[in-house]
Amino acid sequence: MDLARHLRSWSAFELGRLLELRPDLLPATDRGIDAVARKAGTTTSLGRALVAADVGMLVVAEALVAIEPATVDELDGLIGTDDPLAVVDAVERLRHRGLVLVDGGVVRAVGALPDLLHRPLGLGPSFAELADHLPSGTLERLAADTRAEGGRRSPTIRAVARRLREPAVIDDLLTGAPDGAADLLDDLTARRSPVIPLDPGHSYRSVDLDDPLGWLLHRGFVVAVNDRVAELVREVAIAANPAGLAPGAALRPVAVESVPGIDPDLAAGRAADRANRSLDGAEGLLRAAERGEISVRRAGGVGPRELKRLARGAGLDETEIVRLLELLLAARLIVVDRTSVRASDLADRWWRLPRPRRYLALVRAWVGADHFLSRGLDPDPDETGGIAALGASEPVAATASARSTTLDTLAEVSPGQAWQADQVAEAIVWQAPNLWGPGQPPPEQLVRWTIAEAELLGLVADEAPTPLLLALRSGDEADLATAATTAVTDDQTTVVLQGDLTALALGPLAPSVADPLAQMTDRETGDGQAVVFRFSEASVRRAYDAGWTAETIAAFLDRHALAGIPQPLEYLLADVARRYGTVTVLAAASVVVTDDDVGAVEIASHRRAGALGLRLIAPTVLLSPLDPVAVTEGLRAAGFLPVLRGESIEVGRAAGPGSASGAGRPDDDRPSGDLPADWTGPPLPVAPFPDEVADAVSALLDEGTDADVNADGAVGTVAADLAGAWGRPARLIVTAATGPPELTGTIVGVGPVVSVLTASGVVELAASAVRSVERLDEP
Amino acid sequence: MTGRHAGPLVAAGGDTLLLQLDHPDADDARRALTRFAHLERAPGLVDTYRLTDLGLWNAKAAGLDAGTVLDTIEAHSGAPVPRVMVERIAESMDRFGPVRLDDGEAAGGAAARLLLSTDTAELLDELLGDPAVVERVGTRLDATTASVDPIDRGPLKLALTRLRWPADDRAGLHPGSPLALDLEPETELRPYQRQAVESWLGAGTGVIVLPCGAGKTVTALAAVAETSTTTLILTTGAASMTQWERELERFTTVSADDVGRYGGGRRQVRPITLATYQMLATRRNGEFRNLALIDDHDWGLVIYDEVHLLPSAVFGLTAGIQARRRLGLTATLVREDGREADVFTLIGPRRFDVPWTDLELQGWIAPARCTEVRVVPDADERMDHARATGAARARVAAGVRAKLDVVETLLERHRDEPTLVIGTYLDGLTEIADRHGLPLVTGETPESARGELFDGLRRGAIDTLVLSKVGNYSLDLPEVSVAIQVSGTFGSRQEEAQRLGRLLRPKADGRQASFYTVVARDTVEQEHSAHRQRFLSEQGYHYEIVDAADL
Repeated sequence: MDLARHLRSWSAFELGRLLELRPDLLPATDRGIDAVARKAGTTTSLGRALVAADVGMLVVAEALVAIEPATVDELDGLIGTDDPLAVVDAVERLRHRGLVLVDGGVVRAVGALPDLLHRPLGLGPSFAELADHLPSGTLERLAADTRAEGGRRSPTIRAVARRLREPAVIDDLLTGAPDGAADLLDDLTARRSPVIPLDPGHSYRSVDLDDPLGWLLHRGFVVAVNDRVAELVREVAIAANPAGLAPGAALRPVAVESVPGIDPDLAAGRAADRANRSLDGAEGLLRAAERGEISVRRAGGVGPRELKRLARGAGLDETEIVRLLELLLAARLIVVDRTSVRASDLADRWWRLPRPRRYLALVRAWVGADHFLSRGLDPDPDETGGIAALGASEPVAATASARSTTLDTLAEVSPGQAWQADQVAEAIVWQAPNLWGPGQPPPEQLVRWTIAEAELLGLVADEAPTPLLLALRSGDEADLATAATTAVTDDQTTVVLQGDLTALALGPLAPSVADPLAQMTDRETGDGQAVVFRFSEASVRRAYDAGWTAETIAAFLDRHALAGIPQPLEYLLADVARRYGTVTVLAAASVVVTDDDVGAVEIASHRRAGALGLRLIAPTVLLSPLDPVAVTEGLRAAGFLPVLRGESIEVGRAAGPGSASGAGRPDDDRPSGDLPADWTGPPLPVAPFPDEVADAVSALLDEGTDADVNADGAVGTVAADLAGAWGRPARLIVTAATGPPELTGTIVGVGPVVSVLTASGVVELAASAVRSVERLDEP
Repeated sequence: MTGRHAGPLVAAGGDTLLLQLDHPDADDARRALTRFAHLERAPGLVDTYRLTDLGLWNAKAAGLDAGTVLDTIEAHSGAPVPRVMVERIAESMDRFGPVRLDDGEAAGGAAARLLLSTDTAELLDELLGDPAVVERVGTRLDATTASVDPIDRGPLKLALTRLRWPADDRAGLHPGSPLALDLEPETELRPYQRQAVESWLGAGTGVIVLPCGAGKTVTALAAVAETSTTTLILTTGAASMTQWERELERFTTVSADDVGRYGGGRRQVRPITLATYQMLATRRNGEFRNLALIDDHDWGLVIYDEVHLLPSAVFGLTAGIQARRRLGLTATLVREDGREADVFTLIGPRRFDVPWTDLELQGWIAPARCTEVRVVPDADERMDHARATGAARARVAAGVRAKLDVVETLLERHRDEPTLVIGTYLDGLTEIADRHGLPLVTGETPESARGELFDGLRRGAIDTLVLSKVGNYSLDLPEVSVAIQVSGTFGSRQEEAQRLGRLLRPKADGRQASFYTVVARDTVEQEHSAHRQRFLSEQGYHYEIVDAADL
């Protein structure tokens, strides 16, 4: 096997280079060089190699396939660039990739390469391919007329084919042609591989030699492949184009002319700023996705109106929003469902990374992405919806390679130099024109997108590569991490607190600082770059609502304030803390008022009244979250005789018939028609006293035992004590890990959660945390 | 302060710039910023500048374009300007310039008309679609031009500013009659005063903002000397007129004969004439006769002292004298009524501003220590406060009796220093005056008696004076170094600043000024106090909060 023989003669360097250039051969290396050579000659592997081939290689490979085997001079003549050195270079590149073999100055294609380069340089089938369609005798006649060597059939075919490539031979053969034949041949050869229709029922036997086409068929310039179609012989087309078939082909790389004058530091600064702002933007979008704020239009994807809204909110333009959303998708941080964009499970983990690493995660996702972030910017002309993001479109496998090629080219521009924008796309496409995939926008457009996306990520700026890009392409992880840390500000964990009650974040804040700060301040102005927050009475109150205290806020700020806590802020925290909770608001839909405190305690302690969620808030006043009708019914079901008034329910010994305004019989107070006849009680309150617990407690009370209660609330005698102390002042000894060890107040709610009305407001705690209950209204 | 920002400046959102003062280039950045951004806060470590329409239009008027502004920001931040800020600046600056006011031709002996012109016919169409504009515009001359009666110059400019299409007023300013006035040879302007005058001089209109005690009057007199033209000085009252007369005599070469008073029973129109806002705003038979009289004189310059106090009526009148050079003076260009834009339109843009504490650091104004003393109302006062509503609440809070003990303690502490006890409610002030046997000055006190008491304080014959709101402004008591504020006018920032301002003249012995504000805890007064302190906090003053018990 030719290739295997060649490979055996290659140095380790050459073999290594081959495997680098054609990594799909690597698996075959286990089975030896023959296997590698076999694999290298397969259509699949050759196809991959051709996708990565540059314009020079492709042109030379096609030229070779057209006239194989060939010398460099023959290839140069066929192409017509008159640049044999460029052809040599291209042949060498092909050879390094195992696509051609060079032996004694003659170049040959490897394996199935000719099958992949169908109609090379636009030419039709070769004489050898068409020879089988020739009538017997024609080959011999042509061999004689062209003075090609005779002998056996194959050598004869090869000899004739070579002769047919010579213009002088064609001229000779045209001698005696009928009028129009030469013109017809000119026309056909100009088209290189025309489809030539034949009269229906064509047969060589009935060829009319006075007809130009008949004459060309007779001469073998054109060969009928069936009774309807004929093909022009490739060699004839070659002979008719003596100046070459691709004289304008760019065999050499398109040079990217760079211009000096870029300040690398300034460019790096701009790129860093861009990287930071894009990261800010991406983070903002991810937050919005987490909150379910990004909606998807019915036709799929995020539409123009939503993009505009997001852009306005982020201070970016819609193009940037499209790309950042696609970036988040590429990084698998978001998922798109039918109605909205949501954060994925990965998002949590991503947030936990330090900021430069969050950035790098996005860059890596982009480098490997199988789609262009900009794909939504090229709207389908059939749709009038305008640009969109996250619209479904097929991934393109080679996108990552195309991006990689682009970045490699950009990285080669020297520091301090800028590329010429119009040249760089052409240069990049030259390197692998097949890479950009079919059915996509033109490669030049895709290159421009890639560069714009790189700019968005801060990998290029001012038409120049940045340290980030160089580190990325170097493949050195340590360099890359350093470059990212230099460019991308780490999350700030400090803020500047000022005497005017503002907090300034001069950079993006770490979530561990930003989230608490958001609870205790209002954002006054700014974006990710710098944000001004303001403390106010309302914002501090909000923090206290969320569970902060003056002490915990002060401790938090102490840790994160660059220059300590200004005194006015300390006072604000203390002022709000002093007043916080002095007024307690309880949710209630009904107020139950009794004549005396005994009545109220009686209701509060009644087992069946538990389902009404009643809380004793004053000696004769109870509150319930249920509506007045439900409470009235519930109390009646429990044996009380309540009267429903406009704003409260009154229960009392005096509240008999006629004592309530406008009431005849108690039932008359019930608004008519709003309760079904089979109504059995009100719905359970939000935190119901579980039936099992209630039953067990009542059983305990009835039996007077101290058996344990197996429920998620209080246990054993404690549960009984709690129930007994309901509505009464008591001291609770608590075993919870946090919170005070004991509580004194009126027990206003019993269940899995116990509510105690203390001097500083209602405290709620898990019943299971109560170790003992001491009633204070008993000696 | 942070690694991300190479320069001292950080852009925060679309309209805010943060200046990190610990950066070595902070001073350069500050100088550059003052040309187009407005210093909003200077509480210590980081100054906050705001990009406002007014600031940006001001910059455009001074010849800056959006590109220069953006380059400046970029140069001092070391990072590109965020797009949202780029758009903000461009959008705002593009609105100043397309609308112009120019002199028109005089015709048939009539007063020369002004010409309103716009860049495009569409813009003039848009403007004339506004009722307030169309009311002030005469005949439309062509697609982009319309005539304007000179009397409508001010009102039209106001209407245009409200539409965010401020007029570039290029119509001429009357030169006024020449006036021979120089500063006395020994009057040496401080660098910031010189800078302030130069900032104003180019346009001949606008406002100079300087802290109390920083020499606004002498700065204005330097402006008069530079323009050498007949000048009308509008002040807040008789005491202020007297002070101006004294300063004119002390700092300039002007002869006493050339200085007149228009008001207070006198009707002297001299090359330099002092008048009060009140006199100007007085109507007879529905007409501002005094204004007409003054407008008939050939003033080359009108000075508005304490321009933040310019009454609404005088805004209207000022609109009528738009052909004069105008200089506004203030320490606190904050108006609780939000009419800063009217000051911009009618007096002119802010030409010079400097944080108060900068001047304090340079020794030009006395260092001041501000203390908020909190007193706790007793149970009855708390109940009274809880029951009261609206202004009555502030009054209850102001009258908390524990304040009296605090005043006593403070008077004792500063026994040897000239002291003012300042307040808003007369009953409380009277009680303090009676309790300590101190003289009381209120609006009721005759002018002559006031003058004697102030002089007594200046001479050292009196060491403590109880003062109502009449002492808020234009009162020069150089050696007073202690002020105890027992009540205030709700949340007025400028009152707070002006009251501190009474203390800021540098003291002969270099001692520090002490400003106390006594506040009833957990009352509406505490909220008001927080608002009152905002301006001074923004200027770099820090209030120490002390509970009365800890005094």
